[in-house]
Amino acid sequence: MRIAVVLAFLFAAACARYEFAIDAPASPASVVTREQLHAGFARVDITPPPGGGLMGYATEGKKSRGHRMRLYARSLVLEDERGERIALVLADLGSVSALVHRLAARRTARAGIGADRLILMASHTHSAPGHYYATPAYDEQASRVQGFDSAHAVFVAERIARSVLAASASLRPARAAWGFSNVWGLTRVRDYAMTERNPNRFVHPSAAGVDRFADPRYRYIDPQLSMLRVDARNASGEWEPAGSFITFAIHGTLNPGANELIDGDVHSIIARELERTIGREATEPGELPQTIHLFANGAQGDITAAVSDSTRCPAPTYAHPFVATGPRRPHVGADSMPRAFPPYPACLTLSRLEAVRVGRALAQAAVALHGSLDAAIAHDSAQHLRIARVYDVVDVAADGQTLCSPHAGPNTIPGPEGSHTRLFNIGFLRSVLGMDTLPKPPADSDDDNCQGVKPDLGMFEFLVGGRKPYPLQLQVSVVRIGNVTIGTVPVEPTTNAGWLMRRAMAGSDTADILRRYLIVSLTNGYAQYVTTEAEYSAQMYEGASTLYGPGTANALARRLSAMSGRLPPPGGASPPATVPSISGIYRSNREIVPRASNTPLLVTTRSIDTCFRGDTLVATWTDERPGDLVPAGGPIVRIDRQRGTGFDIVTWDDDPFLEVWYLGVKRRGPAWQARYAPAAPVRGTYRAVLLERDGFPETAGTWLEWGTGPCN
Amino acid sequence: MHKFVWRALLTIAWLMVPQPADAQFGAGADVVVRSRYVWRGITRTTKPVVQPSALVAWLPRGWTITTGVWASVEPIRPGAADLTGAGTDGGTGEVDYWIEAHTRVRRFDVRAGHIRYDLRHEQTVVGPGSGIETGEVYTGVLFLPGRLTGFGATLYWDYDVVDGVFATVDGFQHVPLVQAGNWIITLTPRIEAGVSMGQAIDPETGAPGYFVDNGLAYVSGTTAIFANEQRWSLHVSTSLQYNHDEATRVNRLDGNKRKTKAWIDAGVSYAIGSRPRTR
Repeated sequence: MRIAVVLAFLFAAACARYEFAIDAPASPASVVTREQLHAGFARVDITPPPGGGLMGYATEGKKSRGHRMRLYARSLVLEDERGERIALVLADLGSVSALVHRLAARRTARAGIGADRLILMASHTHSAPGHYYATPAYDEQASRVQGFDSAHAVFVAERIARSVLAASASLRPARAAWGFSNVWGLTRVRDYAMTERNPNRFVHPSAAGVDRFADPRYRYIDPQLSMLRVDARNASGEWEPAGSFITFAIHGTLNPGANELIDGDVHSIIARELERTIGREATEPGELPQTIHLFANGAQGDITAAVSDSTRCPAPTYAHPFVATGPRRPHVGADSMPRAFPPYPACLTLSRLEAVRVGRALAQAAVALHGSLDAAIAHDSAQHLRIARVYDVVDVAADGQTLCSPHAGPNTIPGPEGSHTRLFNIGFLRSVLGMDTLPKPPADSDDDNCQGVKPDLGMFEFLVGGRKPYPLQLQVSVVRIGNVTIGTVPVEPTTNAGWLMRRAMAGSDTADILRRYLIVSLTNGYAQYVTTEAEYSAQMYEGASTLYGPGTANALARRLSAMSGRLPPPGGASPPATVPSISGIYRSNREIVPRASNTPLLVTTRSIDTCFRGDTLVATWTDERPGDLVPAGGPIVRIDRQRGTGFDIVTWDDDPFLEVWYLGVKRRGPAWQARYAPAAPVRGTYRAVLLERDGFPETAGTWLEWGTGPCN
Repeated sequence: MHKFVWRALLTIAWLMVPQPADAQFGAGADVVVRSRYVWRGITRTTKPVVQPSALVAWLPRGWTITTGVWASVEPIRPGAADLTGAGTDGGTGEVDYWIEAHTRVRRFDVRAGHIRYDLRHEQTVVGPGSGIETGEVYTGVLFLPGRLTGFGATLYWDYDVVDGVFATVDGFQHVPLVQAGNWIITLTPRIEAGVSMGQAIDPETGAPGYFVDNGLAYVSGTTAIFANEQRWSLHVSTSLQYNHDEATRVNRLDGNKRKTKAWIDAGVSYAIGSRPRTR
């Protein structure tokens, strides 16, 4: 009996879940009137300490062990002559949660930006920790580290709010202009067999009649790079570039799942290149660049970077060369006992180089587009762009017609082409899930089943996701800036689903839809993918991850269309918004991302040892523990090159080729290591410098000729 | 004792024979602790046993040829109903020697070998603890549709005392759960069924009638948790077996009255060696 009571208690504890309401205020009525458009930009570091799971690769998402390119919340606040405000925020995160959005909105409401005017977008890097969803599926299945960490949600939201408030406080007279260009060859469709199902596939006009892409995966994309260039008046009254808001469809998955470092992926590289090229770049750690650029995602559900397959570190395939056998042991075969896969140095290095190649190429295209807007932004109308917004919450449960009760199909488990999980390598599981026969043959829709052809995981979904694992309320916005209308959705629409939504927003206004109607994905929450009905029928990864059934794209398109119809005429006031409660659910709330300790280890002095491992400069030092040392607090380490009696600052820990690793507590205390391995090292004498921080003075390592002083 | 020396010398001589350039050697050892020793549907002892083994392997191109020794040691004095050591103070109840060759043909792992059983204190008509020796040749095939899945069948022919056949079929699935550094934790469910066609132990009749025909069938399920890295493998498993035994008289012994038997075991093994890269 006692055992039964204990077991019942343990079972109840395992199944326990906590549900709470997430509220946020709507924006106050606009009262300010101005003579012209105003704009403010800000950038706030949101890089957490290592320890959280890098979300996005599910079973392949590693626990973070350090950082490379820092994560930022980049904000653009715009205010037009009527006082209509909108805050566009691009966070270097895998996706954002409604919880983080609303926690941030509570803090930004005092600046006139409530939940209805805060457009919080994610870059979709798969190298940033999650744990802030209050949605069990994403807190518990997005990486190998499971759980909800409310303190981390507050940390992220607070820093995002800080970014918005800083942008709001720096509003200056501004002018803005939209521009568009097309970038081919850097992205392609993944899981193309799904895209091929669309009876009238989206074909961009600039691809029509062009025979340069024999491979259809490179042809059926949306290559459009859309940019809102913003210039602002400086202190001396002159116009200067302030930054831009850009949309382009590309998955932030150039780092493979084997990566263990927090990193902004390709979007960080693009933003860094733009900030370096346009205006005055930051030359010292902690300095802000003159211009700030938000590189947001378009309809990228089926779009990945066109990179070498060699960058995709394969998931473990479990093999071993010799297994002891014999008649007295179970006959398991010579190579079927699972053994750990070795580390992946080559594919990780290649993926880094490819990320830099793709990032720089996209940045060059954006710089060219920025330059092409010189004439347009000088036009008087650029100072009088008008803003309007409509905000709504789609209640899936209340929909009752086209949106189904959410569940994921079995083919969510193996992951998409190019990012398969280790579960894909289990033949038995592949057979059971039907992965060997993908895509599914077209099937008659089952009228009795809202989810159509999607198989039900049944009890297994309960086991992996728990009850109500997915969001039931989706925050959706339609924002008009100038003559461009943007639909923001908390999902990852495919190219064709995005095109469906853009056409729906346009309604009867069919002129130049591509340039006047945009979709921004991964905004104000997260609810996985949205495919078209035809793509859904293939039940590949993206279709299986379309939670609300085959009618999801149509339902969202109809909602966006209705919202677009509620936009005021140019210059009119946006309709008032109500912000209903959203429910958050978690099963356990625990410390995952390290927090400041009550008993910090006393590290009174820091010394740094420098050496070379081949062409990698390695600097090791003792410092505070993660949590006491928070990378978002400021740059940690800098690399200098000697020049005469002085030196040049080469880079600091916000660089695609400089890694900072936490090695754990060693004999002398918590050990950290910086590894600098540039793609093309410049010969000279180098040193690593620990920057001044938390009462620690700046500490420099010894100067070493590049490549000399090998590590022990 | 002289048999040990003789077999050791034979093994060393075999290892000294010149080998093809691409051949490599492997070696392994393991030890398993079992809560009870059940073999082919029969409870041989209800007491916990320790079962160590060691093997060496020659790995010429495409083949694995192994020879090894396996023992069942009983640290607790066996009871009257325990077949392995009746009338003794325990100790080593059984020692088996074997040699086996296996190769892979596409998705099939094929093996054949010889095993010699030295049941050192087996009850016989001569009296408790007199012991018996016998030998089998066997061949088996394992179909591996995926690297982690297998379905096998094996046929054993006792050419010596019994002159009978025992057949088993089995299937397993490794389900990797967690990878931590070089370690992978795996859940492995396995099902095995066996049937005697002339081979089941009957303590009440003497050899050659010591065994009876078509006496026993069983089905067992095992769930094991493995923790593997390149050389080490740890496991804990639980097994449940149901047997149908209408013909042998073993079923009257205390340890074998129940048709349903359960036991747990835990073990650690270590293996070194790798296949030639040219394979």
